[in-house]
Amino acid sequence: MDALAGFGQGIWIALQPLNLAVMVVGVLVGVIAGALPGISFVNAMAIALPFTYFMSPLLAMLFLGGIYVGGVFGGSISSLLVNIPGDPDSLPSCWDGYPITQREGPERSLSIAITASAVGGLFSALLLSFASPPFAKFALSFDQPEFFAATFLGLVSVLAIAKGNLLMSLVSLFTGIVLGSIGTDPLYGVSRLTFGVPILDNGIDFVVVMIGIFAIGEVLDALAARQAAGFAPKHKARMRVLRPRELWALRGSVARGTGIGSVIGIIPGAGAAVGALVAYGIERQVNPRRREFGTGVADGLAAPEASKNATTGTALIPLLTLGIPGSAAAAIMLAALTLHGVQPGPLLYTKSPDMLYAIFASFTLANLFMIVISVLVARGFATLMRADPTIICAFILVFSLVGAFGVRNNIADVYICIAFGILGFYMKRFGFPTAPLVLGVILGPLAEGYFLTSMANYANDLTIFFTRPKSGVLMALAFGFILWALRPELGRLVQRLRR
Amino acid sequence: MPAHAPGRQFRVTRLLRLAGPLAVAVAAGVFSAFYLAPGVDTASMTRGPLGPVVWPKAMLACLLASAAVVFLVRLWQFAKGVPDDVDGGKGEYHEGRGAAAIAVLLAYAWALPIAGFAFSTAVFIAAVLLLGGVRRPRTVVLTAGIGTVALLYVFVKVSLMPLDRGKGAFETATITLYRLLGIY
Amino acid sequence: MMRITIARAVVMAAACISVVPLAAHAQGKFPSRPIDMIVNFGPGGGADQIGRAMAKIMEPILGVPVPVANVAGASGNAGLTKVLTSTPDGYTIGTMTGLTISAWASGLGKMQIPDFSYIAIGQSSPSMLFVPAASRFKDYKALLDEAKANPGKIRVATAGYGTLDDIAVKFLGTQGFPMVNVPFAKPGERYASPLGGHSEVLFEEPGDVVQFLESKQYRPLVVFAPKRHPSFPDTPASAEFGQHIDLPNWRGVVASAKVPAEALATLRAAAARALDSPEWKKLCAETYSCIDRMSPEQTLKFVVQNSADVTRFMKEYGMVK
Repeated sequence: MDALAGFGQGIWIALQPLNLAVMVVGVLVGVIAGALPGISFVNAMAIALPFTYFMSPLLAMLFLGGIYVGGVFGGSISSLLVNIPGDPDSLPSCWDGYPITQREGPERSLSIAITASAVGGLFSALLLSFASPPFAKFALSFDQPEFFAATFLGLVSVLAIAKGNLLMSLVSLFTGIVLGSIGTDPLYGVSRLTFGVPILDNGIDFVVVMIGIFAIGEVLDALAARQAAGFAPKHKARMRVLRPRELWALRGSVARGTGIGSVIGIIPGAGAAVGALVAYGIERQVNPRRREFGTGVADGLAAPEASKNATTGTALIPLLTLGIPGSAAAAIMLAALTLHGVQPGPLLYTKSPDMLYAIFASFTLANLFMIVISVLVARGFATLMRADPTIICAFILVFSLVGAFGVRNNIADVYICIAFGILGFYMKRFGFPTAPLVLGVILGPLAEGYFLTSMANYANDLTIFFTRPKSGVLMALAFGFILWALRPELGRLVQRLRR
Repeated sequence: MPAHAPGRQFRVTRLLRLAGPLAVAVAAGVFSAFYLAPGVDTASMTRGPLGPVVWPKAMLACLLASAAVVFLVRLWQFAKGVPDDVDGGKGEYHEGRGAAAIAVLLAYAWALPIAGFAFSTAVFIAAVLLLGGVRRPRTVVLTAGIGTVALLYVFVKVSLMPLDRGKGAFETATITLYRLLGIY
Repeated sequence: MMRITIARAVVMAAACISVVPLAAHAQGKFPSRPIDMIVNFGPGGGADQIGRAMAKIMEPILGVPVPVANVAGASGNAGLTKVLTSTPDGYTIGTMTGLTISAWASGLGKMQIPDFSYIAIGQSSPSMLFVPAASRFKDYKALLDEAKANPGKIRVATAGYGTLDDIAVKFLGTQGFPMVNVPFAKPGERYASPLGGHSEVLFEEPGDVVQFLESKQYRPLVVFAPKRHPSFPDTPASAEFGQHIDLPNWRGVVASAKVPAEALATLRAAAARALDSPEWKKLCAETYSCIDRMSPEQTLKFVVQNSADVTRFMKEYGMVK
């Protein structure tokens, strides 16, 4: 079938009342789950899986896809309104987004966020719809060294979030990587760094760490602070799509974020959180206003927002085109499909093109519906935040702990989450940077897996990361950033040596 | 450092900031020396030069090195009398209330597997409210009660999460409660 | 004053709670409330599939909901810990795989075979080698020839060290066909690697790569078994090349060994009916993993035997002490 005609027919199928309703409900569930601190969109998708038993495969995909698209954005609502990321991928949105909320009100920050996210998501959905086969080929040309190099680039973004305290950020980053390596090693199955404590065998999941440090830590801070600040935003949480001129002013960051996110999306295991982090890190290096980052620069919010939603479409390309589940979200969709006896892969193009194009079209539409639904949810969320701050604190704590439990339905994660909450509370008070630690917990295990597999696959040749063209470019980029960021220090050193 | 809090507080904070990285470095050293993979002969499992503890070991070394550098830099600043750049801790804190909040959290974690999600959550919400200064009995009881029931519907009834039901009598009570609420 | 209001709040809360146990004592017959199905791996894998399918089929048979929860972590041990530590009343069951039991042999966790009651074994999946459709290896012999000519050059994408995959690669090494084991942390990465030309061979159960077999992206080279698999009549068995190794991975449903006999009997009867259902037959046929239904005694014997086979190989190759 001709792609354009197929897509047109897909739109028509997607707009059938039942299909549309299921997709809209999915987006709504996703945005709400994303916005609740603690409940992540992956969590929500796993919970939604049993509901898809009774749906057709198409409806199941529309429902889960809706949750995915909505959930990846939803996290930003709580990032921007209360400075607690609703999802790991919304963490970078706190850094420049929340200052914008404080200075110019939530309308400005929410509008930037939803517009950038929608642009990134739409572009990615269109890539999924029209460029899947070549993009899948591109994805297959990436191997473990490339994944490692991309992860390394993400780790280098610690330079961007260091805010002048580079050394302490490095301590924090390496602490995070070490914490991330606790538990059963993914390749050997050996328990490491567990002190013989059985609950640590499961390892430390980054979602649990993030909930602990940013949700529980923040609530402890609010409870202990002498003057409770309250969560209610000062202004009404209105939200709109940016006018073309406003969007044009952000074109650079949105375009870079979208590009980065689209590519990161196809990397297995990386996903929206890595996409947002890398996009923020790169934006911080190349943006003309990079020195003001962290104080509320619109570009610093737009880039990670565009990037995280740009991962959603391309993340499905390996699944739908090749049958490879690249991310946690894709694995849940694979489970939903196989339970119905549908095997994703190249055969979908020949055997059930109707369904495939309906999925493509719905994904594209979901990014548009996301805007309307997010406006409603953000308003409801802002209204809820007017309640007594203590009541909000109590419920954020419960949601956080249930969310931590839900990551693997394991009480051990609740304990770990509380431990990190306490740690985060004190880290913040003693000026120990928390974001690099989370970065380390997210990227450390990925880097280890990619590194060890690369070594096994290429006869323990360390130069492989530089000699393979794609990986070489990424590594060069990473080292370029390191030199660029250390420029002032290096300059001083050179001067001193001259003298 | 805020101008109104010099003296002892200042010195304590400063010492903590000096000791912090040192503590991290020492902890990293202890970790790498003793606890990488207790009771497992990692050398015999290793293929090629890279075994299961190579990565954590390397990262611990990096942590150790960066923490040591921070400590030395701070020590040098301390000796030279360079003014400290404390940037953490906004405003003032009720130390007691902070500690109480942590205690309530830990108690909740301890109670969850024993008393089950339903009962411990109700008590937990009530405790947090009391701690945060909500003292009207009706508000406390209604928020905790209705809130818990709503949470049960969302997470147990709709989301089918296997939240703890507690042990012994608490499990019986939780199941009875679920039956009353129509969850089971 | 403050103290009094707090006390009153506590009393009110206590009053609310104490009414509850009076209300109902509808215990009676097993099962009278939902049974939790703990899947000991994340969503989207083989254990998830059997757990969800069994739960779905057993629901109407048992007459109560069987909600599925993925409790992943520690090579499948986290979920089994949950099965063991829940109240042993039959209301918590879980998935179990042969892989998990062989992981115990390598020193992970402290669980043992007798800790569990084996309700049913639903699948036994053969282990096979696959190559991408366009691979230069036309058949298994071509692969073996090249492995012999260029020792340690052919790369096999596997699930990790200390697994069945690892055993198979080591076994081939001892037979004079040394190849490199390239472990992947995530299945998606593993399937992508040979497809992208970054490694040569994939070790996997056919049921986990159905999508690639149907679309002819991968083709099977050999099955590690005494004889050919009925679904792959054209794929030789390793025994035909004098390689006597049988590495099936089984999947089933277990409960704690402390579950009372009546509840266990009900669960076993329900599982047996589920395994006989056309729905299940279709699923196991689609995943090339059908196995004859066994009595409880046969099941236990099968589990013990399978574990002993795997452990013997692991000892032989120095993977366990």
